[in-house]
Amino acid sequence: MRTIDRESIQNLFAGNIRKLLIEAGPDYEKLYEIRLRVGRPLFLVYAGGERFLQIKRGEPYFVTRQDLKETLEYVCGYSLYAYEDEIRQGYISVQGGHRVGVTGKVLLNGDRIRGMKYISCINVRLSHQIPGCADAVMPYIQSRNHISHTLIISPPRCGKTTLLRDVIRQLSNGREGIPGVTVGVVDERSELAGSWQGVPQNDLGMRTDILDACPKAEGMQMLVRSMSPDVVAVDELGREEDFRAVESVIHCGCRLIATAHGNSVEDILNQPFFQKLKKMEIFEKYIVLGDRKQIGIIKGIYDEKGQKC
Amino acid sequence: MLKMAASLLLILGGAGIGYARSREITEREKNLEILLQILFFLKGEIRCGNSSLPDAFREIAAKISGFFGTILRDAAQEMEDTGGKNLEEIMEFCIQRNFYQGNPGGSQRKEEMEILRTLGRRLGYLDREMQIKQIELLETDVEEQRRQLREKMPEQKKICQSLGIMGGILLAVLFW
Repeated sequence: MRTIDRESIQNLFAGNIRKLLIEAGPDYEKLYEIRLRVGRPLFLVYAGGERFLQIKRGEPYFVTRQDLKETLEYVCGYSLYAYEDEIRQGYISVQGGHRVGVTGKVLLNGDRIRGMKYISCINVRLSHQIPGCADAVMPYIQSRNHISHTLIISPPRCGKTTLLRDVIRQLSNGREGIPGVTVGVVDERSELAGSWQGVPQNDLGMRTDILDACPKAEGMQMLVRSMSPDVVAVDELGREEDFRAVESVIHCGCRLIATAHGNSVEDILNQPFFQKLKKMEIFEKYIVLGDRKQIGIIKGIYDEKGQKC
Repeated sequence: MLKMAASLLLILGGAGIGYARSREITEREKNLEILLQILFFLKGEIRCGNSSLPDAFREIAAKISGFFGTILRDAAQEMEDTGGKNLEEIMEFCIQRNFYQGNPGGSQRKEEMEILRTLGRRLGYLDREMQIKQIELLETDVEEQRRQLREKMPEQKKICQSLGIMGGILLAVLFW
């Protein structure tokens, strides 16, 4: 069951939008995203679809530039300068573990992104903490004596981060008579723990150490060196250096739980960086999540050979 | 005898008013000193700690006791409550609440409040360097105000004290 503090969500928005949200009273437990685009209607995105935020007479509310400016001011606590690094990456983490994505005109310094101006779209992604959503996959990942190297595969917005979060929590706390283990999490985008001012806003378990806003590759090495975790968990493997770090983690004797974008095991294993891992048969379990129509649907669980379990 | 006593009271009263006014000038210098300290701290919080304004204000409020500390603490709270106001409105609201409605010492003057208002107007947008430059600009303003005050202070204090005593004597003579 998701638990959302509706007031903290409403407080992120400009006065006009806040008023409409209070009047409309959307079901925050089922709400996944609130999307603001300048001159466009404001969308409320639910698990099964989307709807406009309406003003009286059923007309959609059109977002103004002032709404966006004001919203950004509240999201940043009147301190845009303090979030320069986050804005460069395209998102800001806020209290409650929610993530505010921004797009606009990107400012470059040579090849590097220096910042962003004329921000024209804001997407507030509500953090989904669903304790127990990993119950069905835990027996495949963990037995009494063994934790499998596991890769969770799904397209965006299908619940892989939510699933990983609960896997971490269950590994860390222990379950059904299996004692908990130490889990090290590299939370590069502050999405897993949803840390705000260094404090995790989501429950990742009592034996979990979190490296917040740290690049995955460096973070994995740091955790292994400093926290001696039994399990290392990371979200969204994708860059070459991530795979080098994965190898070193595995050779250190840690177990690895990770996620990646994809539609199927074949899809993932055909990607160049995953091919080496495939040859080495590093991942013992692949969990594939379903399509966008319904979030959190497990399409299949596969072993290291790609055979369905 | 009664006349003597009344005259003495008038002279003492006049002198008291003069000294109180002269004390206000000294207080004003202290207030400018505190405002400068606030600006130094704020610059440090932004430059070294990359703190957001609510955090920075709260940290500074813990170091600066009294009236200015209360305004900063209130402003930090207001920013976190995000009641649909911009930073300028928040500063104005906190100044109004603390200065006009519950001014405890009464020694803070409108000029000092204007400095806090300017802070509210200038902060909160664009990048870190711009914030620091805006604070430095305000620092220069405050330093200039303090310099001018210091230059005129001995003279002004003397005038206030003398006018107080002389006023008292004048009233005593008139009522004799």
